[in-house]
Amino acid sequence: MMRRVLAGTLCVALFMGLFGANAVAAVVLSIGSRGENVTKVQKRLIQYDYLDGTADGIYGEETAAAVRLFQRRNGLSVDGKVGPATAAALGVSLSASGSTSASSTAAIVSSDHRLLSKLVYAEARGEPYKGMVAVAAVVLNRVRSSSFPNTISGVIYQKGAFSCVSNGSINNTPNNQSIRAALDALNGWDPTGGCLYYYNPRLTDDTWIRTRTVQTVIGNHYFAR
Amino acid sequence: MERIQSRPDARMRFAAAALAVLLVAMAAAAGARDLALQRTRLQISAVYQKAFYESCELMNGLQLSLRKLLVSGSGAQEQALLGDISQQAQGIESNLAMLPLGQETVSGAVKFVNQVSDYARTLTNRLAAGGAIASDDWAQLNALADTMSELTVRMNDLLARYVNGEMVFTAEDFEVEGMDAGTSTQPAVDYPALLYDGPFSEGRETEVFAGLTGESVTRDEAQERLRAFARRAAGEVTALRYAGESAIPVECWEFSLTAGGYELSASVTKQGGHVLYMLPENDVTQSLLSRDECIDKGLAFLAAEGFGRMHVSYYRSYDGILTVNYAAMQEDVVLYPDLVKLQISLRDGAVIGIEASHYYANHIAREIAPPALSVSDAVGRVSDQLSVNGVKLCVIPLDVGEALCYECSASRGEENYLIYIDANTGMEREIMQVVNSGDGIIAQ
Repeated sequence: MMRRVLAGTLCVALFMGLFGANAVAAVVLSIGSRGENVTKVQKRLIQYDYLDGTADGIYGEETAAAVRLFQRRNGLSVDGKVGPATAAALGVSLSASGSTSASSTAAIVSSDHRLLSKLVYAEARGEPYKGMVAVAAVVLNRVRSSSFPNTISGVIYQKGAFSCVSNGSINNTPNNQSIRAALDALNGWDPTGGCLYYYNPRLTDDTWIRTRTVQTVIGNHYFAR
Repeated sequence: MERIQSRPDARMRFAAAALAVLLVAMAAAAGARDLALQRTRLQISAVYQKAFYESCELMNGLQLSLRKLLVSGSGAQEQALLGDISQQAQGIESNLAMLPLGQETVSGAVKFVNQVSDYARTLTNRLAAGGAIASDDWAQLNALADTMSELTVRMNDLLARYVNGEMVFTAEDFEVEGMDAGTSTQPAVDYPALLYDGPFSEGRETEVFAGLTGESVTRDEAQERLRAFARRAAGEVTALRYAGESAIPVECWEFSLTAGGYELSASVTKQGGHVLYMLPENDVTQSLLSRDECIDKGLAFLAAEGFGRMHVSYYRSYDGILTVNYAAMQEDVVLYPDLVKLQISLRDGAVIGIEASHYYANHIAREIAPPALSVSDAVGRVSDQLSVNGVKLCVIPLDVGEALCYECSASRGEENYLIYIDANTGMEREIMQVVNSGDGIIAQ
């Protein structure tokens, strides 16, 4: 009895001590991802008979469907994405570098475009495309506003401005849709018509932001001036 | 006997429990410490990243300002650019200083941008005192611009590697041939507005929609107008769903729809039932048509929609989507404030995106009097550094109001510029560098 308690506690202590600090933003593959990591996953899925054809390194609907099936059969949470748990179950280790695709890298036109894409991916992944463009547009509206910093990086890294900076999810690799959404915003599309704020009413407990007039609602986000 | 036996047992149990409590407490403390550590680590990483990105952003800007300065033809424009240069350099300096590169590594680059800043201030003062930039100075500025370009390229490359998880903080990446050390004390306070996609399309608040015409429409009418518009733009509409109201800032009905097989979202103004913007949901990965074919399809579409003859200014493609800027025209004068942007599918030429808010905000008939300046007067005001290849009349937006200008397309070696000379006062209003980025033609 005592030995088991001891062993269990030691395990917890070891886990927290050794791995807790290292658990920085993990690579997550989903629809739109490309590159070496995707190829690794696809090869394994083909090997296990979840997927037909060849590994092309592009995470499309078919790959997502195969991942969902794999997750269902292996008792993992079924979301069609390959995070650390699914990757481990597949016996694949995802490398942090080299996960950007050739085409994504080519499509990124500047350092500020890259940063804006990362913000969009972290803040608005899973939102309708219009909502992704809207989040990028809010950043650009802040750059133009005299009440906020005057650069994209200044706005994004402003203290307390975006939760993805404080929780580290901004460090993930953006997918193609996020990169395109950032570019559309840079090209002048603004579905918010000049809004400076947005929030998810189900997730925020900020009362001040609720006093702003909501100009438009896109997906889960309320956009306000 | 029983008591003797039970005592060590109880002691053992107590010791075990105490040990367990201790270990759990230690684990919890370690966990809390690690969480705090991780949070701190993320905060520090965010600070570095911000400094890195902002350095790149400002370096791009500084490099461009230096290039523009080299081809500027008026003292006023030179002063404005020198002011920008000084501020951008200050900003780069403060950001570079934050990067974990160590004093020695970063000092070359910091010294360089400090010198640029101080030099710019010296020249500003000279211009303000009625002096001019001498030929020695131009040579110096030329050298600075080249070094800056090199530094910018290296910095952007370094950032890309850093983002990919590489350990990049090594000494040789920042070694710059410098001049004498300079000191700077004035902080950068105000950065210039950023222009992203060609001249005169951004940066202005569109609060008043002077170009919006027509009676107010009901939701059903708006829906039917959108259905007809989307059919002409992209193809048969197979789904159309109402998605709410908005004030962006003009009041609109929001819809999502499928047209020509493309999933789209769109916003229709309550006044007049105009499509204010439309966006495609999914990427287009196939490119079967040429850019020119698509640009022409866009022109024909806009003409058929009643936007009249339009001027193609810039375009850029992303995978299978081509984004093109079209400016309205009044007779032969290009109206840059009245922009319509289209996204055209390179797969089949379908118009799957539109951004018309600038058009509806600004498009009214202008009173355009014959310009006071002749074409040759205007060309004479362009810097000697440039050779002018073409001139055209246009209206450009200013911070307040608009100005009738001669747009002079000019080149300096391999570089291409657009110089805007006020057609009435002769003032050099704006300089744009035109860049062929491979995936499109943009001005910055």
